[in-house]
Amino acid sequence: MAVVLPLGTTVTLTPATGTAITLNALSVTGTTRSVAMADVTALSDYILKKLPSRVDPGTVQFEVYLDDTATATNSLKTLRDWQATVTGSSIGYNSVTLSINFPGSTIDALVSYQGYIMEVTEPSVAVGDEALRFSVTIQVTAV
Amino acid sequence: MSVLGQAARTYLAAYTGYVTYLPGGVSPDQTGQGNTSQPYAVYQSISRQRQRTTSGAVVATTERVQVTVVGETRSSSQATANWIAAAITATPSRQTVGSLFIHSWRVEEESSSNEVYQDGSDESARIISIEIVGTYTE
Repeated sequence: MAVVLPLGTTVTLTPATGTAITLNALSVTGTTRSVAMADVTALSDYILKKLPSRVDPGTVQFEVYLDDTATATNSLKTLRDWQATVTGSSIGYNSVTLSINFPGSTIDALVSYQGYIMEVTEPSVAVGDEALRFSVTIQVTAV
Repeated sequence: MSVLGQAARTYLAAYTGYVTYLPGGVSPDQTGQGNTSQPYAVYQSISRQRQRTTSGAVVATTERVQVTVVGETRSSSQATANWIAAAITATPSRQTVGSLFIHSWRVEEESSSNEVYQDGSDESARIISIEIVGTYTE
């Protein structure tokens, strides 16, 4: 049965270490999962031969609005900390799992990405009517 | 029904100079029947836009409301329009007005018109319309 998407969809981010947060996601741009093609053409071949080789899980990007919460509990700070936490001379990374919880009863757990946060933008501030937004990019390492 | 307009009315009624500049008060859509005090102002919602997350929750609502000032003379209606604009501009940022949490509001377009005699109505009026744009959370 078809359902109307995505209204009703919630997005959660679960870190390997720490507590999961529900994102105030305005949008999620799904990854382009692709497979590289290897050229296996021999010199004697007169047609190029190609075979699928490694899978590239790609990146996934989501846009969230800036929470009006205390700095310590703000999702912007939380995401930055998960991206990389510098302690002294060492940097800690936290692997995360992004789950898109569709409102459907059968496809609610269809889309889930595991990877590392590679980019966290900061909100552009201007006079406007829009909620302050920032976006986060995750390099997917496993699907 | 304009939510932002109602908040603006609450805000203006408590702002210094209300009795001087708006003896006719502020009303939704049209002024009360028999109101002879001028200048007066009426407000009307032009558009309202909701911003939502993917879950459907409303983050904020942006509304554009038109406030029309009606006065006997050009100078009186202009002075009132200026007073309203100055009042809104005085606190452009986050504030609570009544039960409404306003993230920001500002005055945009202003236009003037004149209602002349012999157009079928019984009196002339100098009219100034200003538009207030604001984003709020209910």
